[in-house]
Amino acid sequence: MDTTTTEPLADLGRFSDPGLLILASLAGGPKHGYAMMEDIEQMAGVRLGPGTLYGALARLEKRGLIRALAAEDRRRPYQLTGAGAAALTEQLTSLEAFATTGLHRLGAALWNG
Amino acid sequence: MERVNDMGRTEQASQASQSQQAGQAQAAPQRLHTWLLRLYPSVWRDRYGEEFLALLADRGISAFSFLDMLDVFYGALDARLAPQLADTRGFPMLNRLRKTLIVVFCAYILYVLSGTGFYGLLDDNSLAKSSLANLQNAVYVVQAGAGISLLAILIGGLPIGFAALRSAWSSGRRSVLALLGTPILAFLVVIGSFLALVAIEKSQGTSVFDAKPGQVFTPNVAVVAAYFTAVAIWHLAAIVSTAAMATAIARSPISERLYRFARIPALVAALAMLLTLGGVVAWGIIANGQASAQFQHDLGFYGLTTMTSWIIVTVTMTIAVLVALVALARGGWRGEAAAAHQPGIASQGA
Repeated sequence: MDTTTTEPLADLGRFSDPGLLILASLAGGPKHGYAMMEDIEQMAGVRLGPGTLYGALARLEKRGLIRALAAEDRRRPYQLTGAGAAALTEQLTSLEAFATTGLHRLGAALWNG
Repeated sequence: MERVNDMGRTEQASQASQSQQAGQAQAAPQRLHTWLLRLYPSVWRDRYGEEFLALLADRGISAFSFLDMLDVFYGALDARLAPQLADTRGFPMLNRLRKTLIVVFCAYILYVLSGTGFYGLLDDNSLAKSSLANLQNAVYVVQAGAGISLLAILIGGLPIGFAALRSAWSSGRRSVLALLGTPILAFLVVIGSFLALVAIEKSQGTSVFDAKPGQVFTPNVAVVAAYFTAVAIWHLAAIVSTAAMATAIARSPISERLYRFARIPALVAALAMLLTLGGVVAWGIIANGQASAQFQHDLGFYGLTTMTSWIIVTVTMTIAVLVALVALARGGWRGEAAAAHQPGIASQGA
């Protein structure tokens, strides 16, 4: 049964930002919890707490955006699904458009001022 | 040579001591991690527990800050309030029935507490001796409701209680046996506290709220303290006993057949509780209408006026009745048709 939902990442509520960070981390390949925390800290300078990480993981897994792989010595890696990659692309594209517009306006303001 | 051996033994002892200390140093964070994991619901622990412990171990105790601990607390709260995992263990219908009946039982205990409050209100109250026929009829309605509900709870609850006891006894589950024995112990404590109250009243030569007509009532501190202690113990005992029974039932493998059977007595009990509530409400309205001075000024229970006591009884009993009826409406029969098609449910026995 396909458990994938079309709910956007914003539906994760307080966990939407951690969710986005996790998806971005998993875009580089499957990782287990601790590896994700390290990767996210290195990539974004954000240190996710264990409770927040697993709160977001549970939500992403329920929505079919990530999937758990077989555990390796107690550590279970997670992998991005097709739906997860699509959601991440959508979010990053939206952020990119937002950043481009913001930088463009900032540049124009500096040029004019 | 002997000295070398001594040195060797000393070195071994020192190494053993260091190893033991290292083991203890490792055991402490593990205990903390295991304790933190226990904050999460069991279904969450089943799914994420191992990897979560591995993550905490990977972080190491030095990197585990107070903020991390708060984060875990928050995560556990979130997992309980917004569960992402469905509890698929056991049988949904059985679980729902059990939960419903436990809620009805808890509501019944609240009803009993408010009912004893009503009898406390009537005790030595001039309205209780009133010749007003309507007041007496209202009390009969209350008594009828109390009798029917007690009978229904016994009919529905005793088979479940015996099944839990039999299962705990045969499997040697001491924790469940202790839970089932809690109400007996609590009852003995309550009896003891009221016997102590009687002894103190006797030694002081006065009873609590011993107001003589025409005299100014001066409370005896020792007697009043003993009285309120006994009352507090009585309420605490009721709460502890109810929680213990509910936990024992929840932890016991009891046949769904018994739960299904208990639904009818539970419904009868809830309706009888509603009848009692009707009697209590009618009694207050009649008393206020036909003997308002006594109703508003005579002593009820705990030194409160009759009217205040009646309001407290009515409110708590209304809560109890609503909780029981809503629980039955939501969980008593819902989903039965779907469950009937699941093989093996009815065959699960105690």
